[in-house]
Amino acid sequence: MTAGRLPIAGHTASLCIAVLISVLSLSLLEPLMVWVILLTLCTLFVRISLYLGWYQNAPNQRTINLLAVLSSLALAWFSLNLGLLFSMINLLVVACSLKLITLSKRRDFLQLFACGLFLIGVGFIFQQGILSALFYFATLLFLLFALISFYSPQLYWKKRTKVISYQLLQASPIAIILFLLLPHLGPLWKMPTSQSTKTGLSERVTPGDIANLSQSDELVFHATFEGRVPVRSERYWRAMTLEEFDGKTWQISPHRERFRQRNQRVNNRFLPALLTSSYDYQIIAEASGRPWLYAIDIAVPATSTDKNQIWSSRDYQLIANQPLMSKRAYNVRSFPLSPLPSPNLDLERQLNLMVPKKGNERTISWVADLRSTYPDNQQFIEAVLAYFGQQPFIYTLSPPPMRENFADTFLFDERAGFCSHYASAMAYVLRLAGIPARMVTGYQGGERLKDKVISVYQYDAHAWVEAIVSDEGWTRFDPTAVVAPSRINAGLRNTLDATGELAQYTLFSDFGKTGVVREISLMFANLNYFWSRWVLGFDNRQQQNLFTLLLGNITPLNMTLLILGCLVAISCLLALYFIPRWSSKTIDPCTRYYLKAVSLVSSATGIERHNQPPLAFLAQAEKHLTAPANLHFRVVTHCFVAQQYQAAATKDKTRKREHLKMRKEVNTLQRKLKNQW
Amino acid sequence: MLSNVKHIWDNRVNHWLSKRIPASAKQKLNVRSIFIFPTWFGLGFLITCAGLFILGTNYQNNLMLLLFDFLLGLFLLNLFFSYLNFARLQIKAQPIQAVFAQGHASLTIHLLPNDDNRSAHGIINAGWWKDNNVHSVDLDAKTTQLCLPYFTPARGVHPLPRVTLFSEYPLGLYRCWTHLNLAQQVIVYPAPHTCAVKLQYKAGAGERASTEQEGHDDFYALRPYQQGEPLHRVAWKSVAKGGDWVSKSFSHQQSEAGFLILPLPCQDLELELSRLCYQIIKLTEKNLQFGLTLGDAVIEPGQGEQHKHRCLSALARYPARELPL
Repeated sequence: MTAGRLPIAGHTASLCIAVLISVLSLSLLEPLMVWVILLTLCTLFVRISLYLGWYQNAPNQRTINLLAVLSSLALAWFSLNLGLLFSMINLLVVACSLKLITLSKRRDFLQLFACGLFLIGVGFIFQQGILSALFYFATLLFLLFALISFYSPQLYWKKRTKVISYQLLQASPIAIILFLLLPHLGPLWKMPTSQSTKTGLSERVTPGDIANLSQSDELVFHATFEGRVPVRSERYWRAMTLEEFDGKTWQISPHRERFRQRNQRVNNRFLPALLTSSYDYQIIAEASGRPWLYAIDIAVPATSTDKNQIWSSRDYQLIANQPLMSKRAYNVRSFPLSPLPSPNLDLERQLNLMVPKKGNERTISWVADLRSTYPDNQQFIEAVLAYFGQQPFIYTLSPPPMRENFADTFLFDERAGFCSHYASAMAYVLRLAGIPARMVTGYQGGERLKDKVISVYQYDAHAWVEAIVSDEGWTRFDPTAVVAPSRINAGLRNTLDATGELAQYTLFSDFGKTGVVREISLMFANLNYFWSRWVLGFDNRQQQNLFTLLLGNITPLNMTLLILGCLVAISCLLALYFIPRWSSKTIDPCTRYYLKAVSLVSSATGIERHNQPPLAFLAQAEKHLTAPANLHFRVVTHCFVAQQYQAAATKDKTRKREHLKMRKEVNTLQRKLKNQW
Repeated sequence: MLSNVKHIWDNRVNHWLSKRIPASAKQKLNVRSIFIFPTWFGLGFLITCAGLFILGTNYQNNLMLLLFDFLLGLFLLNLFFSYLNFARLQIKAQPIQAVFAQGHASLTIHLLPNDDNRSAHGIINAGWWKDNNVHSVDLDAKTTQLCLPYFTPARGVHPLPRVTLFSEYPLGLYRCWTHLNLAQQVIVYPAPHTCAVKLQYKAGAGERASTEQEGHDDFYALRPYQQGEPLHRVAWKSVAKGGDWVSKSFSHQQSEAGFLILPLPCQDLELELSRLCYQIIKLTEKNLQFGLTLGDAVIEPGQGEQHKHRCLSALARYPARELPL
């Protein structure tokens, strides 16, 4: 064993770690390639066969080397598409699998253990829900079980499980103290991120396409407000500003992107003038694979950490320094009453007046007519909105496709669509009229989960228009609000309910549910929110808040005291765990009862037993005791003698009965002696 | 120079250890005798933790940080778990049997639970101090004995070196160890060297007539059994017939007992001692009475196993004066 070699057949620890690595790799379904998972499963099979002794010899080193070369070639080939992070994870799992096949030394096992720990950590990159967290902590338990099996192979497995569970339980208060106390730093350096599946709003909006986004009921983010919560119609959560329009598709302007990168390089920050009235809130965004963050205009990152990690762009977007690969919490302060001044009027005018030369003749002539009637910008916009209101426009999630001459078809023929149709058409119309306009996508509304908490789902996605009416800056216009006011005031569900379209969409199946089912789903949503906010979203700022709550105000002295206090708390915990308790449990109950009876008798009669044999002491005590007390003490003594010296082979049951009898006798004895005095 | 420093250092360590863990055949492990330090694996574990911390910080992933905190807590707890488990041991050494030179003495150690009812778990490894050969015993397999072979190159009385015991239970993050001096010494007899048996008789003062011993097992007579005589001398046939206990006497017993004498001065002392050793064994096999003279020290004639060991011990201790019992 110490020579470094491990037994092969029947070695539980190796089998456990093989099972564990397979389970972990199955849980990493997203980053792993299929052949890697298959390789892991094959490894598991090899280990099981070795464990059961189906064959004795592990595959030899040459085979493994060949496999390793092949796998690394394959990995190198696929890594071009996979990106750094995924390649690394695949590499780690492949290495683990190959190591598992050759596992024969102590070192191998311990290395695998460390890799297992790392894989659990990697799992948290992709899954952070409560259930996945529970799953990964269960795997941690199992991993530790493998380790303890390695160090005490003959220990009964129940005992091993007990030891490990006990340790994990005892470690959890320490972990919680450390979690609350240890500084939550910002990222030390930029980590490779994956080109994983991106969800949510896309960077390109083509209104003629099908409305696939609104049919998802995935959570996008939770917003927890500190003070006042804005009303639904004010909750326009901006995500992206789309300024490039080619007649069909709106997307982020490449010029804008270039300016932003240049500004970021020289750290030329944008600080708009802000009014005092503001909302403070924390947003916990789900993973989206994109850097865009969500906030109500005009949003400013609230803490210094957030300021370092979030870039406020000049088109009022908040951009994270890396895509949201996992849940992410950030703190924002919004100034809803501030106008959105244009940071560079000429440039923005130029960008937002570009329209394609061809197509949509009917729209062009209609705009020319309208413009001649309303030369004033404000009046023109009101006229356009009035057009949406007066003509029979319908709000629907399943409009007919409008691929050619979108504006013409939409404005004059079909007149049916959802937010991005209206926003696109309106922005196009405004541009034709010489008013700089752009499309903004994001979310609108959101459900109230709790008093101060808003949850926003994918079906809350929305698009609206911003235009420069006067030189003051950008003003928001929402044509959808004209067509379907209930979309803004009551949400998509109610709108669809009103139009009778609701039944088509299964995602709202829980809408209108009553009773227990609704309660449960609500409870689950609350639990999820709690988890997101207090575990996943616990950051520097919340830590500061916690410290302030505990200490009043944060001074160096206070902090020192807090740290010392935590150290003391941990030491107390350890003392509680480990200082041997002189519990009476270690003495067997029979002796305990007898000793109790003896001490009762001693204190009543004044005779000490010292080291007398029980029967001798009984004989001595008898002279001083009243008859009833004497009777009981005699029974106790005889029981004790019988248990201690005679009955070696009595069954547990009879012994238990004897103990009960002794206890009863001792209690009666106590009463009798009390009466005696 | 370097070896000198090492020597001084070793001496100091020895001195310190003998003060800290005094010699005793039975020892309970406690705070004074247990040393504990993270193993290489424990350090690797910490490095893995650090990796998780960096990963968690860079991805702003609180669950990873929580995992890190958990593992850190576990690491801390294990310090105590390892210690407590090891401190439940009580070590008892069995008296060690004498051996011939070039043979292996074997020290048997009993690993008993400490006073309370809780017993230690896991694998206990034992070896001689500063020796890499390690023997393991799994306490959970209900084995409590451990034999440590000790190679004995030369004749003499050797105190056994310290025994190092270590355990990495439960998670191998820490190693608890101790260097125990179990206060055992091994008597190493000279290796027997084949030669002719030479008994010398003290016929008169100064005269040393040497004769081959012959006919020593010729039956001579029966005489009444005396308390303490070896049982194989009893004439069982006559006892079985219902007679009194009688013992057989042999012809040579009538003659004066011979002495094995170390020829002094001699050229090769060790060789002579080895020869004496061989003769003692042979004579004991033949159940003869003999004495031993080693320079000034004289062992009066006797016979039997105990006498043999007495004589062999004298050989082992030579030229020490004091004779063993």
